[in-house]
Amino acid sequence: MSLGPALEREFEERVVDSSTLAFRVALSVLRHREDAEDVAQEAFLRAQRAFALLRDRDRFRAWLVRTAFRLALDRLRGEKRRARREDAVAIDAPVRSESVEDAAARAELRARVAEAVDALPEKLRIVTVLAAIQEHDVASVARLLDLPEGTVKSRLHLARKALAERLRWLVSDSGTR
Amino acid sequence: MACERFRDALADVAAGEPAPAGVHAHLASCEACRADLAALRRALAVADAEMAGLLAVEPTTELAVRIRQAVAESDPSPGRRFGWLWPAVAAAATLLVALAVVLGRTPLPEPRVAMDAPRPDPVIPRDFGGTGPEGSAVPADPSPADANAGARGGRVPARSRSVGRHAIPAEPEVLVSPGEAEALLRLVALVHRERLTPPVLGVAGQPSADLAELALIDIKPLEIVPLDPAETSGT
Repeated sequence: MSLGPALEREFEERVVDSSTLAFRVALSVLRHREDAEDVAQEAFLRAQRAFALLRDRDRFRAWLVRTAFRLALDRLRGEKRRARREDAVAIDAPVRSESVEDAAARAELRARVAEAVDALPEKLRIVTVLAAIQEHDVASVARLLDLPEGTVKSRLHLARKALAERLRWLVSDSGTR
Repeated sequence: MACERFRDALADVAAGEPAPAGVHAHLASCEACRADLAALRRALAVADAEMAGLLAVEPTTELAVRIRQAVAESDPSPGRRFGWLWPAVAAAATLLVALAVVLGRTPLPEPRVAMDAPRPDPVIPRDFGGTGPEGSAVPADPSPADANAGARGGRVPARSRSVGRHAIPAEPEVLVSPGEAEALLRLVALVHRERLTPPVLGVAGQPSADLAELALIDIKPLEIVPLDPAETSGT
């Protein structure tokens, strides 16, 4: 590592602090654990090369989120030939004692939600993803994306409205009600 | 029909906006819209739950180790440090290659044209992009026919020049693609042989309407200045 000792220490802190964030952002796009980890790793490699300019924590995390999201999208586009990811998603699903029918219905539901999220424009999608990560409120999403809070709120609203309209048929037909 | 007016507003309400008074009043009296709003909210709840479930997944404990290892193994060599220069270097190399190709292009095959009559006929550009001996475009033994070399292209005008009076730069007289140059040479040769008249210039197998641009090519005789022995001897 070409960073000096001080930078190395700071970078190590960022790895501890932000690797899960990078992983989750990538996972929201790829829905595949190993691929998401690969993307997180690649994002950190790139971050290391530019670390002298990214020492500020907020700045680093914002850069990392954008890079991981972009890398994940690129990877997904490059893998369109591969099978859809429902099976991969199931890897991450909690193990339950549910019937085959229930499991199938759950997988179907998950796939439809994934499709609805994927269909969002990228600007709305990244806001939705970050807001869905547990510890993120509007203010922290705004910081991560370097956007005014009002913009984040507006985008989040548009995204949620689109998701509700797109998925309404699903709850109407699936007997979830 | 009244419910249709509230469809968009219901989605706004489901997404978290407070219901405007009109929507509120309508919901109070419309069971179908209440059910619709409930469905929208359930849909969002499902989406939220799925997203939260997916994004609560923890990476493997090896991820941080992998990252550290990959970073440590990454090569901070000068080549990598100056990797950002590669696009500029590649662009410069491409430019140089293109320049070399343009300057070193060999002359196109020249159609044989009867040049016996000393009339101000349309002329055949002899050296489309080519160079003469020693890198000059001046023919070794400029004959009167050679002195006619040059033409005015339809799109890129060539410079008139006085052969023998000035050195001819080693650059294309008319900047056209090789295919266009060849077609132009053939057409001019045919005109010169009086087998075609300029208004009906064309290429066999192609309707002349497609060649309106070619037909408009203005081929003018070049100024021919007799060689001045005093000047040429010095060059």
